[in-house]
Amino acid sequence: MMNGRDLLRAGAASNFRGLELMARGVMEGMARGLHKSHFKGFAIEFDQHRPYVRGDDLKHLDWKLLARLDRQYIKQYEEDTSLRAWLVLDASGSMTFDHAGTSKLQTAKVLAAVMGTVLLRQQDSVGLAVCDQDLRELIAPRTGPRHLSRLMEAVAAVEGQGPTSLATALERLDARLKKRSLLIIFSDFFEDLTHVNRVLGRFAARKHEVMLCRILDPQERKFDFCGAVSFECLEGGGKCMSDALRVRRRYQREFDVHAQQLSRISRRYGINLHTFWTHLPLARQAAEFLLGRTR
Amino acid sequence: MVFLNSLALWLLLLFPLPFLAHLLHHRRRQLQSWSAMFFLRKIEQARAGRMRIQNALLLLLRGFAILLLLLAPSRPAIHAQRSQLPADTPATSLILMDTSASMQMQANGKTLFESMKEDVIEYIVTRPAGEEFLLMSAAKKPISIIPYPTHDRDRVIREVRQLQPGWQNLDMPRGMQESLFLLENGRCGRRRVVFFTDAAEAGWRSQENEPWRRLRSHADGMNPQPFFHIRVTPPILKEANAAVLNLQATEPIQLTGVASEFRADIRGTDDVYSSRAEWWVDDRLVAERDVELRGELVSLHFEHRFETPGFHTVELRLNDDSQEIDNRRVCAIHVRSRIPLLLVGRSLEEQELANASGWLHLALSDKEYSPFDLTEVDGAALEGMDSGDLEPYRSVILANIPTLSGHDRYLLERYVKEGGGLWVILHRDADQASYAGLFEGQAPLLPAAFDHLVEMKNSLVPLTLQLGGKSEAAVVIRDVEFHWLWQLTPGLGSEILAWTEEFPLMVLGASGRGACALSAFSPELGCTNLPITPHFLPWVHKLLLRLNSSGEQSINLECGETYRLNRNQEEEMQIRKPNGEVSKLSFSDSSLRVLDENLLASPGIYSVESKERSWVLGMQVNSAEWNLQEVSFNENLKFKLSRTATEFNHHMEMEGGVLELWRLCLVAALALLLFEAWLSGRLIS
Repeated sequence: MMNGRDLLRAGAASNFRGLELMARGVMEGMARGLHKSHFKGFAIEFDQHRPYVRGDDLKHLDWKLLARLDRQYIKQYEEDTSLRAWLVLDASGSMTFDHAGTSKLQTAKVLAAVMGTVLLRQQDSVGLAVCDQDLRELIAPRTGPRHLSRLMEAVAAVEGQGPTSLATALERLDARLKKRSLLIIFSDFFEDLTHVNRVLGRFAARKHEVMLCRILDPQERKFDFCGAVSFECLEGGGKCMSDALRVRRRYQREFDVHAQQLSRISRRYGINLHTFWTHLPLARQAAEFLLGRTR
Repeated sequence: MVFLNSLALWLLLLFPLPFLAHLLHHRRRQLQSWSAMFFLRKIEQARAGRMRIQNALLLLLRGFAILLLLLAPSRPAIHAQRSQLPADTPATSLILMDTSASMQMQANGKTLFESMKEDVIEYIVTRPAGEEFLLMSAAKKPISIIPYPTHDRDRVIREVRQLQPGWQNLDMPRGMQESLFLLENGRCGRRRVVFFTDAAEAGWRSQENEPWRRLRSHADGMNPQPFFHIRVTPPILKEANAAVLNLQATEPIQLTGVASEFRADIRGTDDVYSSRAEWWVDDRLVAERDVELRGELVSLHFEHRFETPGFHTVELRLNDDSQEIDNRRVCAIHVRSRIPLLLVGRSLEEQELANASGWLHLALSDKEYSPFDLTEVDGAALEGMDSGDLEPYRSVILANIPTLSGHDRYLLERYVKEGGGLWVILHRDADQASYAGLFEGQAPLLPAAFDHLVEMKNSLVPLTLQLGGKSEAAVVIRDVEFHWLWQLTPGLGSEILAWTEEFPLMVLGASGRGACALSAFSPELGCTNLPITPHFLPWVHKLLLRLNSSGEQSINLECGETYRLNRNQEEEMQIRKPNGEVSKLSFSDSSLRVLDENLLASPGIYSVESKERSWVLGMQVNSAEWNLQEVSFNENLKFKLSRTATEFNHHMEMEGGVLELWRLCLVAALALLLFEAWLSGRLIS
């Protein structure tokens, strides 16, 4: 089993030193950070004017406007804040599928490690939620190098087993989220998307930002089997006999419909959906993802 | 539905193999751990019912196609009328040729067999192309000449030309039965047996139902059913002719100094015809007379007194006429000087006529009148004898021996099985238990069991005697007085020689090579008044002659019969055939003591000689072969028979057969496989 350092090495995390992971919405952070906050303050980036009231610090008074209009206005600036991020890792049995040499769970773990590192480097607080049909493990978001190593060890220790119910797990997680957060969900999303849709809608309503990292094995799309095959469910759901050649087209159609449905849901709630393939170089895919999220 | 190549039906055992392969393949299918069961379950749930039906349909199609493919080599066929068969449906013709003695008869300057050969060759030549032939000759024993079907007509004609008639009689049911077995080799959709014969009655056994019933059930069970055609080449005798049908001695045993009587049956053509009959004994003419024949059977009798013991020959010769081969007939006889007998039970101390042995002594000891050499011993003498002591006697008489020891029983059983004659006379004191062992087993010594004594209370009853063989009428003696009788229960195959109205009194049966007679009473005045009647002496003599002759095998045989020699292991023998040819006999282990049918094939006198002794065998042609009468087609022949060439062709036109379906099977299998391929392709797409 890989430890946290191996995960970072596998994800070539050191290559992402200059990259940032930016939230697209506003965040509520305790510390000053890279991300926009809905709190107005006095910083670098001008936001608006407001009439002066007694007690305001005169250093924020817009003297130029006072001279021109003879009215007293105070200049207000947008306040940057740190990010509260949750790495949600689907550790159900289906994530252990490995046909291309790397399992989907392994890929998810490496991606989680990389993104956690990037977020912690930019002073954001990062938490971890491991789920299968429920929340299996939860580490509250924190910052700092010690938390990074704890987080990495926790991610490395995750093992895939049991059935999936991502929607249930996310509902549980939702109940624990007090402030706006960034949720990065690593999963294959092989389940009924109706419930997932509902939960994601709730996240959107509560102004959480969600990023869906869909991890797939190429064989799961291609279904490149021939003849009669007995498929054994990795989530312990028994066996299913099937003539692979005969059902391939229908399977692929079902698969594509499911993918389109997920894509539609993500578009509806303005959620960033990115698909990671287990057979492609992971560092490159992670870099592409992060480049799309930098400022 | 019939199968022309039923052996190939064994291929059907392969039928379950595709299904087994399917099941095994089902079990051995690839196992794959899979993550996206979410999609697969959705698909399979929707497909499950339909797929089950489709899979069953595909399996059914494949199974049926394979079944048809496996059936095709067994050549399935259905019965069809002539009109339903294609015009070019070939036939398998089995040509069965009568090679019996009667085929040597001459008509119009050539033998019947030559005329028949011409008919056969004409038949072969006129058959349509594609017809295949088998060839058999039929006499007493059918012989396969071309046992496997051939299209080579020249070969068949060559074989027909080489065939020659023999001297045996024709066993027609057997010939036809064998032809059916051979016809099983036929490969065509129509099968027929064409029997070329002169239809002489010999061997047809037309009055016996069993062989014909067996033949018919055999033919009915065949697929396709064969058609029988009989083409008769009848003997046409335009000139007067006489034939000696048989010649035999009237008595079973001939003795020196006693006149032996012979009888011969002669048949002539319908015209009044006179012939000269000459009796020859040992190749010397001894008597002659003219015989007038009017078409009916005439019996000639001849008496001769032989002076020397041993083998002699008697021959009847008629004048040469249009058929030479039926003018002579020979008969071999074995003449004895006297017959040695052993009478057990004589007690010399008793009054001479007080018991059975006394009366038998009186009847048999007169050397002038009796041909028997009588030796008398008392009842206890058997104990001290062994089998060598009994060997010189032709018959042994047990007169009122109350009990038999184990040694006695063993000795007597062995003696009779080796060819001796035994007469057991029961007294009222006879111990059933000691005799019971002689009526047990598959070949019991006694021909009947006796269970209880019947008191007759001095009543007078008629006694019927039948001691001269079946050809002579039984003699009924009135007013025979019996005081007691043992109740006899005859065994299977035994013959009743004497009986009252109620009880069998004397039973004869064969045991091994010998014979045993059992009488239920004792010939003495304490039991019956029979000894003082005039019938007593001839009755005893006839019984003993019968007993002696029944243990012997006949030395007059029909051509083709086998003869078993009484030969020592190392004895060197030679045989002299009727044509004078002498050949040394060599015996293999299996044919030790047997002269086979090929050796004794032609009629005449054969003599078998060794340094110590010799036999004479008379080979006869079956009398029915010379009867010159055509057989009438009786009720037993239920087949499609025809008597003339015209009817024959008419029947051929009506001949049905079978319509072969193997091509249809292959086409159907191909169509099913194509449909299966299309359907499975459609299911995949």
